Amino acid sequence: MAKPASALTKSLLDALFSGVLALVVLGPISGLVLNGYQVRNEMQRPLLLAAAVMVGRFLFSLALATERGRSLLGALSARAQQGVTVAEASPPRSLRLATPLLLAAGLILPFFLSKYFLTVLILAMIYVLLGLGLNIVVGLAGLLDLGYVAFYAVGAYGLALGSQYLHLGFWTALPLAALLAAACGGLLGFPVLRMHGDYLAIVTLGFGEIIRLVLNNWLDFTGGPNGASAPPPTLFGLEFSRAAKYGGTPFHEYFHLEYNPNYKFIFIFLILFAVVSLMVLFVGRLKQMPMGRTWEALREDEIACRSLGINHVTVKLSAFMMGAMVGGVAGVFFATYQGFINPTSFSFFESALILAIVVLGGLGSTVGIVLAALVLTILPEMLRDFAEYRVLIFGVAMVLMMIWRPRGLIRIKRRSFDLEGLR
Amino acid sequence: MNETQGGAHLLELQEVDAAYGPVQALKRVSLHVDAGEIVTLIGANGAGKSTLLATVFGEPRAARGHIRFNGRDITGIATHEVAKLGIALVPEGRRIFSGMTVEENLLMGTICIGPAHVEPDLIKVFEMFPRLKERLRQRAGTLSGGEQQMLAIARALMGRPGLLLLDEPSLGLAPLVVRQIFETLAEIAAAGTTVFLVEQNANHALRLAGRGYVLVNGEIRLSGTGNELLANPEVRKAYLGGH
Ligand SMILES: Nc1ncnc2c1ncn2[C@@H]1O[C@H](COP(=O)(O)OP(=O)(O)O)[C@@H](O)[C@H]1O
Ligand SMILES: [Mg+2]
Repeated sequence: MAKPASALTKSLLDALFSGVLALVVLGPISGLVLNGYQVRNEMQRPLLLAAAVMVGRFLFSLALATERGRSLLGALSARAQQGVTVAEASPPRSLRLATPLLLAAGLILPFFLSKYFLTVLILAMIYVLLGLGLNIVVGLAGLLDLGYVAFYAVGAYGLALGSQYLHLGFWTALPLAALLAAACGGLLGFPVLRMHGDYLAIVTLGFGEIIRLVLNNWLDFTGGPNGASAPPPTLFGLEFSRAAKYGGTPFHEYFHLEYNPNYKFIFIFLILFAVVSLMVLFVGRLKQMPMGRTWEALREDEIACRSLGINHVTVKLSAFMMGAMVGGVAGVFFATYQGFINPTSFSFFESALILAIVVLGGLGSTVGIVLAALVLTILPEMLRDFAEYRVLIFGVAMVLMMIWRPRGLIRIKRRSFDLEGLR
Repeated sequence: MNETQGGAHLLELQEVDAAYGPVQALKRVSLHVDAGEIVTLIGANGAGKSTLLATVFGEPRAARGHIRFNGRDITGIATHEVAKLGIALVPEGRRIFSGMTVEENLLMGTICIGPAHVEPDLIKVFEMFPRLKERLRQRAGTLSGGEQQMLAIARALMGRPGLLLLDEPSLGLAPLVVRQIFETLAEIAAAGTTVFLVEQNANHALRLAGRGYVLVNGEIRLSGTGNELLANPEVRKAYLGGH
């Protein structure tokens, strides 16, 4: 501490500034309470909040003025300053050991879970899939897509409406809905990908909302807010309901088992687990393939890329469509797992949540995204009592991340591309 | 002057205008580069040198006039198609991919021709720049300025160009490194790649080049052999410190 007096005044000034800011921001929100048609003035509340902010900011500034506070902050942020590290091309030993263990756990676990935990786990896996899909777009290709939920909705409604109008089953709808979502991605991407960062974000944001509004308002076709029902998957024609609804035989009757509603969820989980595993494998390969390398190069320097002969529009489009396709697949699983969908499941908040997964996971790190998805979906379930604060906690977590861990919780060890990847 | 009339030039700009919105950056620029030559374009900061190279790549597009490569009119061609014709650009400020390894940067250079010749071409490039071989697995951003410039040139060569365009490769480099780079350019030309070099470092550039052009405010003011321009009083005054 060089000058204690100046540190004190600086802290006081900081606190004052924060207090005024808090008052300006919080005043209208918490100070004016709507009561019928009248506005009640409750100014003591924002004043109290602002006072709390001031005290907090004052203590924070003071702490920063001490050696110890600074070193604490420095330790938190030091590693974030370093860039991406390049690892050897072969995966680390620990990962090679962990993979079979994880696979085995995933295959055995569902048989021992209650229905509730099964559904939580399925939802978590759906978000893992969404995170991996959006990661292709945002993390690998560097395109900020704020309307990713649109493709999720296309997949979900692809199954529901495909079943309703074309009598498609789960297995037919899965690839078709994925292709449909990819086509939507292409349709949106083609005009939009010439734009740069901010514009792209705004247009995709709008697209996400448009899809939701169409789903909500096209009553005749989508059922509007009433939603649409989606069929569960079948196992070679065997159904998982108590009585056959789609003209097959129920699974439990065929195998002379007692009916158990868990069967359906176990089955969905197992397919989903297989899809997610394949996806993890695929993304891992993708990063080392020329396509992944081109995305990365384009993210670094678009002008250099174009002079090297890369068509930036088609390269970005490939990432966009691939991400959309994965979102579509996730949507199909969501619809089949819920059995019933309506537009409220596809609000902007979903896009934000998926983006939060990608950012928290560390923009590009597969392991990080899987972890972040699991944490962000399972934790709120475990902490049901705090559900109201979920959004607030997200916001705080994101802000803190951007300050101290701008490259994500798990820092990417980027594998270098090898010559083999070119073959 | 050794103008080759009649036969097609490797690269030819004919009365080219280019503008950024209202800012006219090139005015009626005509020049040509023949196969096997080293040609240089010198000019002060803001003269339009970078713009001229960018116009070959279609950004900004020539507002009038024609650009021909190997006799073919490429004035309206898409930017990403230019590299496939056999024109490589070493951009101003190098623009290497700093987060990627040296090796990956080099591989990016093969995009326009595919990976068929990667291995022999890597060997050739490493003969020319042994330093890059030592730093193959290093992140490109951690290289020194001179090494980054070498990498930018090597990356361009990986696409087996017939014509190499360089935008101020000596910018910000120590004199010794500049000399090395210019020696390499002579080697590249001797190996059969035509070189078109844009420079502010007129002394070095004109000594290296067979012919040169002087660009002033977007217009070609002078042209001639390297020696003619070196001896030209106007050039000496403006670009060589007036000795
Ligand atoms: N992207 C741009 N937008 C608008 N004006 C530009 C742009 N790039 C260059 N210019 C202008 O064009 C002129 C030529 O620039 P440039 O080709 O970069 O010159 P040089 O490479 O010879 O230093 C300058 O007046 C510059 O200000
Ligand atoms: Mg320039």
